[in-house]
Amino acid sequence: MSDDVAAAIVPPANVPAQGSPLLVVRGLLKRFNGVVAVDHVDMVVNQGELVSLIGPNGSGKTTLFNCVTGFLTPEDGRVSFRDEEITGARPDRIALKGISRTFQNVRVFPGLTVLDNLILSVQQHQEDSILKRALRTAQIRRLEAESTERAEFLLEKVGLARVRDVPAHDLVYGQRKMLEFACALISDPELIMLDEPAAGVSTALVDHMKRYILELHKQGKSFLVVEHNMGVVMDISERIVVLDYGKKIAEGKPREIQENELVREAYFGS
Amino acid sequence: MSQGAARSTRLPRWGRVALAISLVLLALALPRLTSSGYAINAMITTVRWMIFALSFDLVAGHAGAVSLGHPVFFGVGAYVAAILGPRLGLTFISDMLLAAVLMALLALLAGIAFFRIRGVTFAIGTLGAAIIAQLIANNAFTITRGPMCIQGVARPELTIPFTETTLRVAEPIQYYYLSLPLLFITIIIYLALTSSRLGRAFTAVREDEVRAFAVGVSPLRYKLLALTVGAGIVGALGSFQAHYVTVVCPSEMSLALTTTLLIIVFVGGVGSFRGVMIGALIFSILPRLLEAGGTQAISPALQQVVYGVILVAVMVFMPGGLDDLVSRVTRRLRKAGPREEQQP
Repeated sequence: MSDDVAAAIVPPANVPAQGSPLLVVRGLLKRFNGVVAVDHVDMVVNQGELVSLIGPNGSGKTTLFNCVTGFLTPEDGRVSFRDEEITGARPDRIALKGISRTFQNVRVFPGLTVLDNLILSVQQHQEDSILKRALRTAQIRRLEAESTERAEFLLEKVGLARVRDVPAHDLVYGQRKMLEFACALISDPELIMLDEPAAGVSTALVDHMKRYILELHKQGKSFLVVEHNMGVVMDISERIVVLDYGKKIAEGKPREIQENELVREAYFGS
Repeated sequence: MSQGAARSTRLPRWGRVALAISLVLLALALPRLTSSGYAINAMITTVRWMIFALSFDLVAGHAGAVSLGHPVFFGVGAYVAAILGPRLGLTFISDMLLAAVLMALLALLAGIAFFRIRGVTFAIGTLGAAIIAQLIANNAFTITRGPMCIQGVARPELTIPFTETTLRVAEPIQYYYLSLPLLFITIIIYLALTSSRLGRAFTAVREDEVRAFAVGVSPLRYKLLALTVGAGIVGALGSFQAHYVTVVCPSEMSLALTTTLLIIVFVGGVGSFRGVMIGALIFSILPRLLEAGGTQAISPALQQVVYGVILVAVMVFMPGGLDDLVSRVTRRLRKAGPREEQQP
């Protein structure tokens, strides 16, 4: 497939812009040992938008995620967030700028309790003086109390209130998944990037998560979601970006993507 | 401690305060219970190992970087007291401060270089650095006098505030009381760095660096924090040691010290204040028990074998160390109710 064909199928003018661009990716290129994982991809997430990133296994979705969040440095191209260039910035800096993410293979801190996992996910956003922390000033104690309150609210929301003080390594898979999801929300980020939130989660839990994502979206939160579960993708997305072999092969509303020949070919090979 | 919250063995606040006060009083009263110089030397050794092991555990147990070069900061700290101290005309206290500051700076530079490597490679790299440091100490004869050692390091002289009197420290019991403030400061720093928000961030760095980045924690920053503070503490301790034994030899940074540190921390309970303190206590007392009252019933070589067996046994049967054992016993004693049912 040549670039011309892809460009012809993807008319960017079709994409309705809601609000100003929040995350802008331009010409992103990443190779691993000569294999092109992300091939000059352009994409935008606008303020308040819910965008899904789909594609067959190995199409470069997670690599793109990692380039945006600073875990990988792209070889070419630019990433900017809120009009500020963040290409190649350190992942902790990018996180503190207001992009939170989850991981495909669920990462929570096993030795910390559920509550501590949540507070840790917000504490770095609050203040950054090691001395204040060591002395545990009144300000720190107030922030701890606030974070605990917010954490308890979220635990209620994701159904983990009863395991608040349990170390994360004692949680079952679905609970870890919900914990990681809650951790991605607690710092009130501008952009929430979820890497396969529905994978390996029971149908009931998927429904629960879906409803909560939509609720947050209604409140104006922006999302970029990688997901294989097409039911979920079609239900929640405003716009879908399709990758195949690292290239963007289509972009559009859920119905347009469902009817797209190239997408069918990429997924089913016919 | 943040990890402590997960265990159900925490005492209530008043209980912890009471326990802390009684332990401090015990530490203060202990030398009054004996007139034996041998016993008081054993107490000084215990305090020394507590400080040494706590500073090591900041790096190994909390930042998760097992540095085998930790005694280098101790040895160089001792050399600072022996070589720079007299030339700069420093007193005991300022000597310790100088050693602490210089070792913290050295650790900062070493950390920036060594934290580029991870896991086992990091351990091996720091082991190499320790060997090199000892080689230098042995061979830079004009500076360190090599294996001849630097002798005659001045005993501490303390001017008592608001008086003209100067206290010359020479008796073991005086050294013991001089070592206690250093231990208390170490404990306060250790607890401040490993509890609450900093403790959580350290746990993050130790358990999963990738995830740590994602929650906005810079692993390098926290590792450097642990290493510089740990090195500063142990540098001050090295200076104290120089003024105590009045001799500084290359063996002050020998790998035997690393072995003992590893045993104390891993047998006691890595990353646990209680475990490290228990470990330091046991491994300060144990060699003296093995000596069976000074008659050398067991040769030092056999002593190492005993240590080795203990280390292997603990790693196999209770990987959490003695601290974990204490937790399990207290939990059972209290018959803590079954953990809340987990919903799937």
